[in-house]
Amino acid sequence: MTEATPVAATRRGTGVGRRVSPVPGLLVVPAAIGIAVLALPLVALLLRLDWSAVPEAVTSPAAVQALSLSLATAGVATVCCLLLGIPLALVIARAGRRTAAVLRALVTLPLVLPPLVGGIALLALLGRTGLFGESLALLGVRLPFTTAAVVIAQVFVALPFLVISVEGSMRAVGTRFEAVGAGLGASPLTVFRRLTLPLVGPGVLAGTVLCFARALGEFGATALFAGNTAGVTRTMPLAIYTAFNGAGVSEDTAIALSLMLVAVAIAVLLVMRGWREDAPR
Amino acid sequence: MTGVEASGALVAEFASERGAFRVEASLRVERGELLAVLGPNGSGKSTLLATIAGHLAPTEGVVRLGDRELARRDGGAGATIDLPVAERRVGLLGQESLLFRHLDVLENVAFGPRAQGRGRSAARLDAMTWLERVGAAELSRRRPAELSGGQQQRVAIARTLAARPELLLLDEPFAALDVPTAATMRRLIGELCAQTATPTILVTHDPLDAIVLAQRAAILHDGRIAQLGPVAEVLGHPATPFVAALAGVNLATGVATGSGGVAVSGADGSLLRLVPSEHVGDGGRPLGPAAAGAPASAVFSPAAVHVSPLGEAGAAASDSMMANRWIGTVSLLQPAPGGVRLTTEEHPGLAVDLPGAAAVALELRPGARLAFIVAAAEISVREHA
Repeated sequence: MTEATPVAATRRGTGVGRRVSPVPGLLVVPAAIGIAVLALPLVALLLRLDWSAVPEAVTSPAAVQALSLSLATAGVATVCCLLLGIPLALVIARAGRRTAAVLRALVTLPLVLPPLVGGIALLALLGRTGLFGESLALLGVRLPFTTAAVVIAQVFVALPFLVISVEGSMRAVGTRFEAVGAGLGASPLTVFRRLTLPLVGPGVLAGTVLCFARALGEFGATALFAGNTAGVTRTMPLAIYTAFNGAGVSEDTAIALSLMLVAVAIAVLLVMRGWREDAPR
Repeated sequence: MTGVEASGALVAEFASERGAFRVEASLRVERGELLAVLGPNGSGKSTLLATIAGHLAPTEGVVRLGDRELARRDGGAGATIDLPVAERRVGLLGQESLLFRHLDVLENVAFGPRAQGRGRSAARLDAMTWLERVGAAELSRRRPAELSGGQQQRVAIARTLAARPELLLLDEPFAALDVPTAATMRRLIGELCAQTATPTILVTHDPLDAIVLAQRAAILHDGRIAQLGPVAEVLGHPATPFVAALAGVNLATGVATGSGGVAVSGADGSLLRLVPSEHVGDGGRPLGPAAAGAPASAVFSPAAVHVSPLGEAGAAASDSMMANRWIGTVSLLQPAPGGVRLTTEEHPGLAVDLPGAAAVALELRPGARLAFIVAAAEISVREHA
């Protein structure tokens, strides 16, 4: 059984003995500017930081409260997105061309919409005088300006990332394996559980990370729909905004809190890379 | 033995449409029988299989397996049956093995038994037995990506059979394999089909598959079954140029002469009379005097033609009315295994093969005029239905 060895050998050695197609010199300049645009602000952030103030800023009760609220709400929002998004992605991936185009446009809309508009739209639907708001109020349910509202706002802005990522993955995998599974006698649910889901695993993982990151950074819709109450709806982005506007806190606190979000984001990316390494091929 | 007991014969009598393309089929495959379906690309082979497998509903007709109706659609208000793929117990194996890449080999094969409700360990035991039967037991813990093409196809066969299909559909399963691997796989499929007695349809481009594996062959052309019969008859006396090309034989169509031969018109208006010797070849039927004037055809191998220079044979143009002989102008030369294949302007549909040495001796070139003599013993003739 020697057939397997060349596969493993070439997987890592693709660069050896092969000349890389050269990048035209003219294009290196815009590329360098591009990376500078992305990286320099973060470098500046680090340089501006008063390191002596960092321990106090990040361990302050307000910061800890905001971070734990952010992680909790983003986590719950991500779980909601997975529960709603994977089935939605499947429906889009299996729909006819027209239906899929319509559904995909609907899903993409919150992505291209300014989050502030999303917040206003959520108020219009669930606010005190909103479309469903009044009926909810009769039932004694009040959503705006609660922690639940934070989660709803995050789901609204983050769900498209998950759906688009998973749906793309499903399209790439195609339906041929599912057809084989059905031919072997598996029910549609078994096919979904044992074939579709594992096969789109990498797409789900990538979508989950994007979704969580987007939920964590969500500001606009949250600010309008959930407000800015410490301990209830003041997530990290809102805490940073509050600190930056100097409501009794210094700008340094805002920078230190921002650094925490950067650290969390990097940690998420690293975790994803770690998973990807040993993810099934 | 953990053999699969196939429940009964396949009866497929249906019409099926994919876009504007319509396929009409009427065939029956018995228990323990393997039917080869041959046809050019776009002849409807995949539509035929898709309808039987349940990926496509017939527009009318019925697909029955033993006493179970897999699909039925009567014209008008009649009852419609369209059993889901998962409930048909029809195993489909294609050119690509399509192993589940996130599962190892054993779990791939155990998928069918588990999906059908067996416990994990029972399913694995079953899977291991099937892997042993296809000679892939030592691969059980490998991932599909670590297998060669032949190994993958071996595992795919085990996986298909482990689901205990009552009908097996093989869609060019050897097409992606190299020649020695394909030969091994062909033998394996033959053995397994014989052991399990599962009725099997094998769609293929390769007449060798039909010759080695099948009892009967069906030729699909433009969505219709153009010919159906024992393999020797179908390949030995093809009804269409496609089958003739597939079987590597020449098919000359013309009219029966009344003296047991077939008269074939050449492009130049000359007449070639093809008369078999007393012995009638495979699939041929003697043409009696009563057949005179009826459409008929003659079949012979490109290698059954002897080529000689005009002068040497002492041939005058008038001799061309002799049976089994024509004077031709070489129009096309191309390489053939072991020599050269040529066609003539007079009969562009008839290929002539000759060994390389003979081709050199004859100084073959386009435009050369030569005498062509077909060995009478290798001609088989038949009246057209």
